[in-house]
Amino acid sequence: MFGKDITNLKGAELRKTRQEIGMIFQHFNLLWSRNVRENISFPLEVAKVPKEERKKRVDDLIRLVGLEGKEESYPSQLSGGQKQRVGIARALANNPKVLLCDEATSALDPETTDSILDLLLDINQKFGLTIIIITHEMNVIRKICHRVAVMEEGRIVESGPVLEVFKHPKQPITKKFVRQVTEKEDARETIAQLLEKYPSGKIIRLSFVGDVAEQPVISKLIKNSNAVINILQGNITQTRFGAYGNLYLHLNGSEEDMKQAIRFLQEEQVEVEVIEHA
Amino acid sequence: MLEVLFPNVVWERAWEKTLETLYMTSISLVFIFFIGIILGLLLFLTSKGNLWENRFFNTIIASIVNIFRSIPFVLLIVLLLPFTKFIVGSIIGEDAALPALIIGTAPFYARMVEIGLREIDKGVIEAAKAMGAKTSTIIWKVLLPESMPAIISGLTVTAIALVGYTAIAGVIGAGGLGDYAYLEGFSRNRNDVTFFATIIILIIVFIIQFIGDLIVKKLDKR
Repeated sequence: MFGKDITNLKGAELRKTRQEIGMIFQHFNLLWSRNVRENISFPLEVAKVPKEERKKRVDDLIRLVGLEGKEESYPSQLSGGQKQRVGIARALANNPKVLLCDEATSALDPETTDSILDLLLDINQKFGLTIIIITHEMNVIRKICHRVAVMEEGRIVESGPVLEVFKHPKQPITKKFVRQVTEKEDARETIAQLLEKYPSGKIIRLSFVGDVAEQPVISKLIKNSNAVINILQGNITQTRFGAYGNLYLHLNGSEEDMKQAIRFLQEEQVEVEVIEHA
Repeated sequence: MLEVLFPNVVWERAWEKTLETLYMTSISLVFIFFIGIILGLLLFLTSKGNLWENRFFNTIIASIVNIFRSIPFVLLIVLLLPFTKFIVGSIIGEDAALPALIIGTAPFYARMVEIGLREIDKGVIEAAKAMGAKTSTIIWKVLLPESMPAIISGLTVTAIALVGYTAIAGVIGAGGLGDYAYLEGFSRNRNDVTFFATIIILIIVFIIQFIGDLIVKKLDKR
């Protein structure tokens, strides 16, 4: 990190380096004996920042995370989201070079998670601060991350830009994770049922990425094809770098018509997969 | 009215004895507070998974604490007589009771401090470490403030036990209300004196409990 191997650092040097890394935690880890202001001030005290400067910095941070009016409250009087805001302010106090979030939203409800993510995104853009997020929630990654690395048994097994990894997951673990956001849980069952119900024709899955996802591809397909098209199920997932969607279609008609339809879709830059069994 | 209920109680004498009890309790409490916190911190910090993890050191402190906590107080006073003579220069009077009171009660309090420290969320200590805090900073700014309610309520319990111990010490020559109740009450068959001394001790205990609870309530922001 910053060209240093921190696993070999010790004593004063390690402590100094740690001040350059802001960290927020799943369970906030605030000092309950200190109020909001004093909690945020804590890392500044550790870094021996003079009192006057400390006060100014704490005021700035409280404004940044939107906790005005709560300065004198104690953690026990705050909601989960507010506590995490204090955690974020505290982590940013010493102007870290990187912000490490350890399951920062895992203890929060979806709505609060969104507001915390917006705050992180805001900080990322305002200060150009690198944020490393450790999470098992794919929605978090989808919403604010640029790059993702998947870890299994303590090692990174796959990494790359978010859209790339979501679209083409390679490792089994990645596929399992990605399915959380791209496929509804009952999708597989539905497809299995449909395969049984319609022995004739084909069930195909279309994957759209980026701009294609927003094009009226299906409408064009219906106009251009003689095959009978039935939309079974679909979804679209928004990431930081464009949309990414799946659509399940049932095609029927002559062998020739179906082939022609698939060819048309491929020409439209849509990925097509014919599903034979769920 | 009071003269009828307690015909043998001389008020000046009772007041003097009460002050002696308060003197022994408060002076030893100050020592116990500091010794107990230091021992409690050492017990906590050297235990498994903590900042100064050291099994050898931990076992030694724990053994010392356990030994002094286990010796019955009456015997401890007797066993400490040579030590008391050496430190205080006398084996009678309020000052002579102090070494035994402190040595007998500080280990008990140290355990309470340790329990209080154990209750602190490990995550908070982890967070302080992640901010690059030194151990001394963690002790002063995290461990002690976060466990302060437990430290104070432990001190309340200890102070109450201490009042009881001063009474025992009083019986074998230390002065105070115990001495008053036993020598001037029980021994001379003046039950009203014994009873009166008991009431005052009870009042002292209630006041200590009340003050302790008040401070804890003020400190505890959880």
